[in-house]
Amino acid sequence: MHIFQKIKYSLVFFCVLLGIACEREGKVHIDQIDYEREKAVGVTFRTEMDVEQLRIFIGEESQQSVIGVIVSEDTQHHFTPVIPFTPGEAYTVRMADTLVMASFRIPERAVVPPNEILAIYPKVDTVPENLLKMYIAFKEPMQEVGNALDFIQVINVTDSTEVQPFLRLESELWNSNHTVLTVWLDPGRIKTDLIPNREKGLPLTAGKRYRMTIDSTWRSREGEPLQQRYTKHFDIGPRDDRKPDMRDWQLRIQKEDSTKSLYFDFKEPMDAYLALETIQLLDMDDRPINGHFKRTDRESVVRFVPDEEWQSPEIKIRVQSRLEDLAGNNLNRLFDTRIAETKKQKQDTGAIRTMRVRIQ
Amino acid sequence: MMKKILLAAGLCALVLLSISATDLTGAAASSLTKDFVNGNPEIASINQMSFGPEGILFLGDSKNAAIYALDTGDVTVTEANNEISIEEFDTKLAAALGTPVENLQINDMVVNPVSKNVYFAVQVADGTPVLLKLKGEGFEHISLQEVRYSKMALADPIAVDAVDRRERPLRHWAISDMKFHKGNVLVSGLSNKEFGSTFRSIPFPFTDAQDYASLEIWHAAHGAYETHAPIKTFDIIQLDQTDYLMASYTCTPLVLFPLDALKDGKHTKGRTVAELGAGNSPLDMISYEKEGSTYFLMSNSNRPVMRIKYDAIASFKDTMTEPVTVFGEAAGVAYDNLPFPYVLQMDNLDNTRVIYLQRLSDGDLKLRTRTTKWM
Repeated sequence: MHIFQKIKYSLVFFCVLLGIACEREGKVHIDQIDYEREKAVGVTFRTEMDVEQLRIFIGEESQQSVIGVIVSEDTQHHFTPVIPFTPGEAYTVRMADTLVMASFRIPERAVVPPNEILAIYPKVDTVPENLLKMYIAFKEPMQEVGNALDFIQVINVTDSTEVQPFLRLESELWNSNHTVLTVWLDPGRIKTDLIPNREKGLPLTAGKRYRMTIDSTWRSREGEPLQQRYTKHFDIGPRDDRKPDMRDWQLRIQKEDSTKSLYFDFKEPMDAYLALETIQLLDMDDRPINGHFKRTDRESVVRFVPDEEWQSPEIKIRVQSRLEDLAGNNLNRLFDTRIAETKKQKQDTGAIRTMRVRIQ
Repeated sequence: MMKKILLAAGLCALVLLSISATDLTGAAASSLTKDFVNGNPEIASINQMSFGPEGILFLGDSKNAAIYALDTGDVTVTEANNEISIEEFDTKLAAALGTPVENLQINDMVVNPVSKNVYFAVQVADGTPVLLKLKGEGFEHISLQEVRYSKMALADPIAVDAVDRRERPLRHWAISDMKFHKGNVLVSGLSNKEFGSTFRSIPFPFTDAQDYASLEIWHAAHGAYETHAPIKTFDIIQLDQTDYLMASYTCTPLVLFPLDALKDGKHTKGRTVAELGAGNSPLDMISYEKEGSTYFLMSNSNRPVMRIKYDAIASFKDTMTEPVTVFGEAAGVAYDNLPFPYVLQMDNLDNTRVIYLQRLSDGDLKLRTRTTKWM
């Protein structure tokens, strides 16, 4: 046999051997995606390759491998990323950071709860021009990235202009389960004579009509957009320069109401959340009366539903003075105050005010 | 023979000495962490971070209304750090976590002053907090599941007389800034229910003690004291041997409060030394020394990084009472605008360099270092 032919056959034999070896050693087989509480917390794969040479990447283009921990049992390996794999995304297992050995895709979530806005407070159609804050209550916990104000648009309908009345904060104010957002109308513009107030005026102008739109692309924690775009119209009334006064309140029990609720009519719309959490009922021996506060269809009225029948004909009402009206005026002070007036006012919003009420 | 015995005795003495020396160092190192426990602190969010001594990292958790002190064990003293310049930083971060970039948010960035390692608090869209350490152009994950830590709950000064324990929803605190200073963790925060500012000073190692104060500032142009504004960021400045809290507020007064007056729930009036212009919100504040002078740097939402000279603050003895009449006009202590807009995070890398995360005009997010010589 000619020497070159020998070399040729040898090369072919070598290549076949190499091919078999590559086939056997180079194979990465994805066994399963590991789930925990419906999250794709890891991937299990099998290979006889040196697992140290393998990295997992999001997609095919990324040059940065996903950080995580590999636990091996013989030829089976479990990779756990720092955060669960993202539904709908594809991942590749690569050798030496470039050669794709296997790939897998995380399926979209099968059932994601539809999300909607339950309420925007204040609900009333007309708000004072020095309105201080609004609350947006969602059905599902919302995404915890991005800025909420990027999803909220406010139009002055009367003048056909877009306005930016809200204060942009890096530390957004959500409740603990991320379903209620508090947005402040820029307080610098509400306070008389502050630079923003002088230059830009109040965030909302009396006599004008506004439309607030909330974009449906705002996603829940589970990545689900809102069911629809939400729109709320509101008219701006005159400035509220009066502190809420407990002497104006009307308290009554409606005879036909089987819950025997005690209705508090504040005679003006109050902060939708503070109204539920700043009032306590006590009997004449200062023992708390158990029950809970509920909103009614009027924002100026809340009701206290007692757990048991009323025991005594007279009770005490204790109210934390931090209870505010829509303009941020609380029982102690106006939100916007001149220096001479500030001195006269008590600043302690933790203070308690008490009054006695006959309930029968 | 005698020589051998002497040598052996000498060696024994040396070994004993070195053991006791090790013990001493051990005791000194553990005095801050002796009450730490091992386990899962169940951290719900990382909104702010600050390094204390000995690689102790303080994490501000708004969701749990708590401060955690974490023993990172990252105590290898390092001086020389290579220049850091990472383009498409957010894309690389997202790739390292295996998720699209819109699924993440960088809440804070701090440098460990001992090791010079850079730490990032990252938040996932579902609220999961992630702590990462920069390693070359990649990242190392710091697990929050099994750590050595100590926890301090932030008492709510207003809710001491909470009325309805059964039904009352928890008030949510957002921690707006946090710094470790001379044995105390200083925390500024705001609440979702009342528009106001609370400042706390918490001794470390944590005990049951924490001081809080409500702050009152003179807002130039208002013609009134301004009580109800949240501090956005702050630093500490020493003037005439007294430490002052230098607080920066939304739209944008810079106010000094003597630190030792901020305690026992007292209501304290500050001295406004500058109005840095309206329509802006301060983000981060750091200080550095150069050629014997101290400078402060402040990054902003709508303005470039501002540089303020210590001497300018020290020599400004007045409080601003005259209204500022032109929108966006600055007054009081002078400052320089540095040519770095949209700096989102900023910290000292070492004595001569600052590291910052900047959104460039083409949308790229870049992590880079810069010598203070050129700042």
